[in-house]
Amino acid sequence: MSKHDVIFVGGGFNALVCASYLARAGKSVLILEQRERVGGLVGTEEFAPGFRASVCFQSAELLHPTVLSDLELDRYGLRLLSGGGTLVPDGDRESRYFAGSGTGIEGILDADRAGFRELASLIEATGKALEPLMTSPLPDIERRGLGDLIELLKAGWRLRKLGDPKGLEVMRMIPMSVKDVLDERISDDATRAALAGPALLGSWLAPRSPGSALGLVYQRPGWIDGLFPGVAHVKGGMGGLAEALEESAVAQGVEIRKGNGVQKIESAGTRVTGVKMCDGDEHTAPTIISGVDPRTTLLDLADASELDPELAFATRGIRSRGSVAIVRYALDSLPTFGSASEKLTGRIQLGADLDTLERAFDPIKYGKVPESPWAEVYLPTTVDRTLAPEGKHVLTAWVQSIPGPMGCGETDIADEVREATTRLLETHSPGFSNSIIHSHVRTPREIERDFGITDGCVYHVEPAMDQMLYLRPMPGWYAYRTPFRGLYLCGAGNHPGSGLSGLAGKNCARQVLSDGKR
Amino acid sequence: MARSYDAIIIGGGHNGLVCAAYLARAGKSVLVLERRDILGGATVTEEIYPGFKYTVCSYVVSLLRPQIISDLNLPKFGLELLPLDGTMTPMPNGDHLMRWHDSADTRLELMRHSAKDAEAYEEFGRLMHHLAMTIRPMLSTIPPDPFSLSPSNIADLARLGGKFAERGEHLYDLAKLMTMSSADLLEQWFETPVLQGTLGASGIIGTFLGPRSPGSAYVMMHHYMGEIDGQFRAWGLPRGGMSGVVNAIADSARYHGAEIRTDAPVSEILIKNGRATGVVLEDGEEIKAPMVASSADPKITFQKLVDQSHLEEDFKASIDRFKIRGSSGKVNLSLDALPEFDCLANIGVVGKDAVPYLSGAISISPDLEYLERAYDDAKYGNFSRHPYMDIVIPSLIDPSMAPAGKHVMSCFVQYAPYDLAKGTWDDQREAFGDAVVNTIAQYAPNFKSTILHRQIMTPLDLERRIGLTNGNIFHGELSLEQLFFLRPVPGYGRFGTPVKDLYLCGSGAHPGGGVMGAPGKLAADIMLEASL
Ligand SMILES: Cc1cc2nc3c(=O)[nH]c(=O)nc-3n(C[C@H](O)[C@H](O)[C@H](O)COP(=O)(O)OP(=O)(O)OC[C@H]3O[C@@H](n4cnc5c(N)ncnc54)[C@H](O)[C@@H]3O)c2cc1C
Ligand SMILES: Cc1cc2nc3c(=O)[nH]c(=O)nc-3n(C[C@H](O)[C@H](O)[C@H](O)COP(=O)(O)OP(=O)(O)OC[C@H]3O[C@@H](n4cnc5c(N)ncnc54)[C@H](O)[C@@H]3O)c2cc1C
Repeated sequence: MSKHDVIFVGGGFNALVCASYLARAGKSVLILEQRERVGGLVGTEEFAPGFRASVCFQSAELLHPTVLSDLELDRYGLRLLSGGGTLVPDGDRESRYFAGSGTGIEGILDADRAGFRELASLIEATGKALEPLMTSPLPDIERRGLGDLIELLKAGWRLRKLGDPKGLEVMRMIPMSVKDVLDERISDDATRAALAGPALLGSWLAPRSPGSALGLVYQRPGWIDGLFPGVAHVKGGMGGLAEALEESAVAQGVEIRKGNGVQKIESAGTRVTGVKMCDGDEHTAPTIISGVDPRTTLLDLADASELDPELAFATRGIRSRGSVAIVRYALDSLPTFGSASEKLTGRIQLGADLDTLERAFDPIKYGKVPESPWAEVYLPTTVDRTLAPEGKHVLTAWVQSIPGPMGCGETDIADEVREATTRLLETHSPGFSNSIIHSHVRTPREIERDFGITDGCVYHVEPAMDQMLYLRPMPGWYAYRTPFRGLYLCGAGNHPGSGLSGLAGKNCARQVLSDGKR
Repeated sequence: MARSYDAIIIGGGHNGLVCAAYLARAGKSVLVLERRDILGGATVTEEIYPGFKYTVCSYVVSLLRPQIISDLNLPKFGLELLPLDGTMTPMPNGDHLMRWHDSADTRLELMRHSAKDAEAYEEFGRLMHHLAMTIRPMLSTIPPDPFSLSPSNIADLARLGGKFAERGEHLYDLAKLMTMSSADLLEQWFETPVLQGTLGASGIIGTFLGPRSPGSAYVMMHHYMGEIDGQFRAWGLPRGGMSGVVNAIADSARYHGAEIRTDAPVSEILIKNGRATGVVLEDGEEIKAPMVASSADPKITFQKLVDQSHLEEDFKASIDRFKIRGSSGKVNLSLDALPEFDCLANIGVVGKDAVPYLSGAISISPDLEYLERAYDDAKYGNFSRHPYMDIVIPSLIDPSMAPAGKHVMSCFVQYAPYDLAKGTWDDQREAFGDAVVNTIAQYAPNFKSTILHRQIMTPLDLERRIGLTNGNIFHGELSLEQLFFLRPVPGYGRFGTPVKDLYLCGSGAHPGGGVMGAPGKLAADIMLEASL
């Protein structure tokens, strides 16, 4: 039994950011995390004796600069190591390498330069126009307060200022498929694949899916320079980021309890009152913020029987299907990927043309594992020697499109995924298989099991046109509030949902504070 | 000896004719020039084999604007719409799903498949109806320019905004529906695969999308917007086939003084000092007019009929990017007897008793996976081995379409991509026809032996015969980035073009394809305003 202003269900990345902001505003905050470590999908673990690697994702370049500075992450030990751009191996053919921005861009064919420049300026313009809508809660369109209306008009104005026809061109691009947008401007397969990969990663979309172009903008938002940003590795793996966040939060007085999950969010009617822990403990607070995904929060943890039927229907309509497997390898030697070793420090895109990405997607629609998946690969030990024994290496592959239990049911697909991934790596770096000391697979099923995320969907709520902005996580519930009074959501499933920016957590804190003043 | 006119309309499809009729009705002297020897474009009946009249392309009317029917007095000029009743979907297991026009009957039938779905179906229908009503005003509105600050434009925007605001909380539903996939929507509502498949099928018609492609839900709703006699989602076949609509419009136009010429292909639009001044026909004849409207699609209009030196690079690039991939084909058949479906024989419905089941549409769409797999084939440049089909037997509704005792059958087929990965449509045509026939024969074993003739319209044939670029049935894809003020290209959503006095009045303009007449009418409105 304890009393706080705010209790967090789950101590994931976004919860830590949100908690820090609230503590800085003078709130007393308690975080309840089920695992022995906070950070959720942001973490480092020893997956084989002597080999450590990030749990899920690999890089921190999307972190919003205000989060970095507001929470003084430098001071609390965050060390970023800069890695390279994007390498695209293509079997026996010579690899291609893309890096830099503006006039310093590397890797674009002469024939594509004009088209690439146009694309870059279009995405940059869209990112800049959208940035103010991402860095704060969305203007309230229902109460039609004057201030909110002005915010919205301003966004429209920014778009207009881009001028005719550019403003219209932006509107035209947003609902398009990434393939159509790229085909219009770029003729080279490898360039198209290098640009499409990040836009699709983690989603349930393929190059031909309308709306996938939105990923180009969301993965390269206004605060990022160019379309091939260098990778920002975190020293010690992504756990280094979680630890810095944890220390920053604790320094502000946030209390963190680990190793005990929340079993139930208690409510009287639709007013939340506190939480009940798996070990029977109880905590009360007027405000509960969940960093767990919206479906789990509203349907499993909260008392779903209190939801009116329409809201329950909308909540069940949130799509959170898993689609990514994380496969990690402990290696005897560094794979070559047909390239000089200094080009292996960034992201490596395995899948060198759009049809390869498209075909890899088809099986998930029928609940099957692709025989030839595509993957985004990282070799963190090329910049951080603390992760593996001398001379040895770690490789992490995000393998796309792997079904979660919602898609493939009870079938255990881990070995199938491991084999398909090893085959893929062997194709692009012959001899790879012989260098494997150990491998570790998490398909969406294991992501769900280990982190409590519906179907192992790494974005909590699938990124797609109909689950963005005012529709994220569900229509009308874009302001971090929920149908339960006092219950908020701060995780990746909320606006803006643009990768690991920290903005969902930051915006949620702002919303909670401004609601508290009313 | 050149006569001159107030306006020349290129193309005698239904939209060109609607445009001409409205202009003539307002007192303009109008000339319509049609390339073919027959009017109608994709809205046409042709007697391909003696006694058998085929609705060669489009085969049902549902979206034709009621206002156009009354303004042009079409019933007086012979338009008569015969209702199509219901949709039957045969299933591979020998069962079927029958949706009747009568909702009580449909409910009973759905109960057989799932009580839960029978319940949800009505609720779903109400939501779709409501959303369709929200969208529908857009079909008869000239899109405002979102960036123009002119007072009249802001007033237009505000009016449209007001119409939406009346719909209150449904705005979110609408935003979702515009952007989601039909499969996601249907799986949220229903559990019966054959119902999901059949409803989802209307989300892919005419598109190069599968039911799992975002955006397909909007296309699906488009089909809830039709109305005949105020009945939502009612379909009709004009007496005499699709030419019944076109002949009525043409007669109305002539009645108001329009002149219509067939066998008159336009080879060039004359442009002087940035203004359209007339046209040249293929045989060299020049005809002058201060206004020209083209109902040929935007690619034909701006890449074939306009000398490129008159267009700016940006505009040329936009037209180049206009998406007009063909994805559908059509197979029209003469039949010696009606097909005998297993699914009906299984419940003892044979002979005359089967007629009511066959008098609406017959949909080959057993589930979403079937449709999606058909799409997968097409993505990589193959026609679907197991295609989706929407079939009607017009002779059951209008016996004059075929000799006594015989029938005509119209099969709309997806997918048939215009660009094939291997070979050409000239060598794949028969194989495509076989895939269609074999698919139907799986459900109706007597089918093959009843076929007297077949006409196979691949996308290439639609292009050659009807003049549809890439065989795209809507003169350009109906994807979000090509709708409303973005149709056909950004900056030209209001029927005007960079060439002064040259207008678009066909399906390539807002609000797009379908036997709707809306582009023709709205273009006429704009032209009349400009000529004041
Ligand atoms: C392949 C891939 C691609 C991605 N792409 C990018 C990218 O390009 N760029 C980028 O920046 N980000 C990317 N991400 C997204 C990023 O990983 C996630 O969005 C982010 O980590 C989610 O953080 P979170 O705090 O919202 O949720 P989580 O990390 O899921 O945190 C939730 C926490 O709640 C805890 N929890 C769950 N249930 C309970 C309970 N009942 N009681 C108590 N605790 C509970 C969990 O243990 C966990 O710690 C990607 C991820 C992957 C894997
Ligand atoms: C197979 C198929 C099935 C369809 N099914 C349906 C359906 O069931 N229901 C429905 O509502 N819609 C359906 N549609 C869509 C609908 O038929 C079309 O969108 C509509 O008919 C187009 O009308 P339009 O007047 O804009 O163009 P068109 O009908 O294409 O008319 C354009 C005319 O311009 C002429 N032309 C072109 N170039 C020149 C030139 N240089 N000089 C002179 N004339 C020229 C052409 O010959 C043609 O007659 C279908 C279409 C197809 C192809």
